[in-house]
Amino acid sequence: MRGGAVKRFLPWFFPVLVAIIALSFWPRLDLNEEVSDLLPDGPGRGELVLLKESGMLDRLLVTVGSENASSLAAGIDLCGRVLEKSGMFRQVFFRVDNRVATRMPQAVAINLPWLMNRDDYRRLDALMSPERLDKQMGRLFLFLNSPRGFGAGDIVAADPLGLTAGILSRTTGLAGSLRFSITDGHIVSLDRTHGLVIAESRTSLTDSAQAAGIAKILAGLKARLKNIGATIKITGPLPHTLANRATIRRDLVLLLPLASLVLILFLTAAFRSPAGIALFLIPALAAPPAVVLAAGVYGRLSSIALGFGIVLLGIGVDFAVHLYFARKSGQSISELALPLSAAAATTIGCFVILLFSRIPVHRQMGALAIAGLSYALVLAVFLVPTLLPRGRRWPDNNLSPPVRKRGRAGSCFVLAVWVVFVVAAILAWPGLRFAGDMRQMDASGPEVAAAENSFARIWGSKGNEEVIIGANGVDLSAALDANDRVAAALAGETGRVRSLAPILPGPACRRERIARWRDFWSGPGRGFGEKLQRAGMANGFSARAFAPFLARTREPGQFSPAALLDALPPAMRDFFIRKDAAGRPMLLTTFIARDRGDIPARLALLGAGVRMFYPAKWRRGMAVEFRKETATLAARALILVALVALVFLRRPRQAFAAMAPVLAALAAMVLFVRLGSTAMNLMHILMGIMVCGLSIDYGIFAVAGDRESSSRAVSVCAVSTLVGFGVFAFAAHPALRSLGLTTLVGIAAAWPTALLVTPLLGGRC
Amino acid sequence: MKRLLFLLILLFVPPPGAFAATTYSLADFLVRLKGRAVTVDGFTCDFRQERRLKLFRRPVVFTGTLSVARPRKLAWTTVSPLPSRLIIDNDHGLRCVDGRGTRFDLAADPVTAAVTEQMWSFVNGSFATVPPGWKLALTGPETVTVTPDDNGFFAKISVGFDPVELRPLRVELDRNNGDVTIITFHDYRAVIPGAFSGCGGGR
Repeated sequence: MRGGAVKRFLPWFFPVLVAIIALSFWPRLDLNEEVSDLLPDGPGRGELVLLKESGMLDRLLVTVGSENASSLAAGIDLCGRVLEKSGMFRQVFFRVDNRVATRMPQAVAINLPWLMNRDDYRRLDALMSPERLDKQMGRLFLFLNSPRGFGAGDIVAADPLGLTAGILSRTTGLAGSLRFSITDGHIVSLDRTHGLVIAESRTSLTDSAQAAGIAKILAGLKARLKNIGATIKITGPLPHTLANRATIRRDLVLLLPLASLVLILFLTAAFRSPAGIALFLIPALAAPPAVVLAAGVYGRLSSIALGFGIVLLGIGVDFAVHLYFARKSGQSISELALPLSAAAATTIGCFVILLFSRIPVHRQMGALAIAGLSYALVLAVFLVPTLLPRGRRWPDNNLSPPVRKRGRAGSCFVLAVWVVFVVAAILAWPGLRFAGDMRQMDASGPEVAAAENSFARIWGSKGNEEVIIGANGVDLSAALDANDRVAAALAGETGRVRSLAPILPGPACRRERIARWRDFWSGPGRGFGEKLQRAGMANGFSARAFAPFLARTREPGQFSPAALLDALPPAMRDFFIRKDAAGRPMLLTTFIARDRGDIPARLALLGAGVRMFYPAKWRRGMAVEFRKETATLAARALILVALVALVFLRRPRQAFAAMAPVLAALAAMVLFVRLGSTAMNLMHILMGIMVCGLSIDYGIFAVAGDRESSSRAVSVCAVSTLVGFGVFAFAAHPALRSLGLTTLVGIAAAWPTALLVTPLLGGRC
Repeated sequence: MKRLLFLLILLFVPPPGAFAATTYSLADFLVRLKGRAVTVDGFTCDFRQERRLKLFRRPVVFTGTLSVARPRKLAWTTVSPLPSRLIIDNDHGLRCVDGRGTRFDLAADPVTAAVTEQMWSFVNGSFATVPPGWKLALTGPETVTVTPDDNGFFAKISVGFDPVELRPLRVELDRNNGDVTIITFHDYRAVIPGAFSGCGGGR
């Protein structure tokens, strides 16, 4: 007896061994959580890479609050020091050196020849008349004798005409749109009840593991701040990552056990033996080697691809279920070869289509599913016989509706409903919206939104979306030249542009400007020194008061970028001067988009060294790409399943009948998204492909399989899929909910279609 | 400039109080200054400012009044030789020249924002903005001298106080290039009416 059992279950030994070996490789898997892997190949992904390189996704904004000034100051310092000490941040910005305020005017004044543009020369021209010069000297005299001018002697000597102010006016937006003041070296809100700490993470804050580590530090910090009477609110990508992580965890903790419980109860009821549950071990055994194989092919595997790929592998059980019922009803393997091969070819074929998707995560999931399902099919063929009853009668189940002939009227009604359903979906298709906005997958709740609103209220942020432009070069000089071209393309957008170009021009621009400087002082500016001296002396200045400026009109000397860079707070310097993914220097420009005009077109003309992330345009582009991708994948899937069905079933009528559940599933999904006023997203596409693969199986078995056993198998497969995947329709996370709802709706339409419509269309009634 | 800002912190130490001492440490003295600061809501005084700069042909003397009120109001008014006014009210400012005023936002004028911020620090009795490394010494019974640790803008800043009331009487700013500015304060009184009310008030 024992020997027989060992012999019977011997085929399980090898698959279990392979699964264990594969599992031992899992800790070594190179997983990533790159958001860009969710986007189609093409310019859109490049734009997202720029967003990442800009550091925007790595920035943590901590608002420290306290009504008490000393608690606030202590809180800001504590927060800054704790984040610095954590070692998780590249830079923490919480103190401002007051000298910055005066360093910049001085640095600009000594670099005037390289910083003056045509507008400045127009102003200079206007100051050349003796009357205007006299007025300027009088103003300067008064300024030097006011508190504001106490420390401005050197600036006045280097720039008596006040040209520095014109140049600085082009840099007023450098600090962004936030409204703040500097108190005791801290950035504080205008009502002085909040302070700001900005930290840039060493790794992306969209990485949930990194985010969890930082969350621990912040929790500790929160407790310490409470002791000194201060609070903190966090904004930036971190709260979103944490909220999504927590939501997914909550969903999985609640729904996975629930799904498992319901599934076990269902299988127990359906099979009334442990065999049914054992069937579900087949895809579980197939998953580990499939994951290792996919990781071997792609090197680095997306966590999203891994998670959803494993879920997709769950459908591998369908082969085993069909095989089980067919064999149990007395069919031989050869009898089952046709429908099983056709079902495998269509299901796996659907995932082959994913290999040609332009979305990397799709390709990875495709590879994972193909490997897993192929292996699951092989395992089903070898392992299912070991689960079949031996020498005793297995109890029947009544999962499918009893097969009975319908009258002509009933048949017509069923067909009419199906046709109306499909036609309604075709009509609804043009009205479908496609989500290019990844925020649709964001599960951050009201707390995160409240913190963001509070941030906008405290810091005066108007919530405008900033366009990010990266100017690259092989070296800093080339990057600065590219940055100047960006600035020229954005001319006229002053006030909304943040750029270092006005104070840090590239070599090409500097050459042009120095030539203009020399031309001016040897042309219209000739003899200006005497006029200036006269006007100055008439207003109380000494004869040599402006010697530094006049010397520069004769010989400009050397450009001093170090003085300009040194005048910028380090955080601001690092915001604008960055490195791209290849380590090349990159100058960043941002501007507030008005979502109109020809700026994108103007920037596009600047060539490969300039990249742009224009949020509104990007979302529109992504929506178009997703629509295109959905249409392409759906069309390919339909063609493929139709061809496979035709090849295996030979007769077009039967092939069409097998396609009926697929059409019903797609129609249901389209109508659901359209009537639900939601937008089609990445999950809908993915699960749509999976549902196509499953639905065609139902159709093929309904056409080519044994009527009785096929109906049972289809019903068991459909109910288990509805339970296993459909439970995610109750998930709080939008991605999981989309997954669940798509499956629920698709399978719920495909199942009755396979049982009721396919036999009618295939002429089996 | 930062030295100047610190000077301004020390400059407007508030008035009253029957206090007199002859020997104490710098720390004690700063504590006393801070203690006085928190008890004062505001004041007006006259000043005489003499600037001996290389930029000027001859020493330039300006006279006028200074008014300060907690929490964040300040008016620096010159009367002679040229009338002018600088009023700061929280985060907004008004510059008056020739009777005409120009309003400005401190957020858009970092230099003025930095100067006034230090003044508020003083009014609130906070000396947290003294840069680390600067030498602060009591060079006389009521005279504090600040010596920056780098070869920056100022070589030395000295502030002399009234021994009894702890009001600043004389401030001297010495620059490395030989420029000197001396400001003396006198006639301390309560804030005069209209001190902060536009270009024409509070003279």
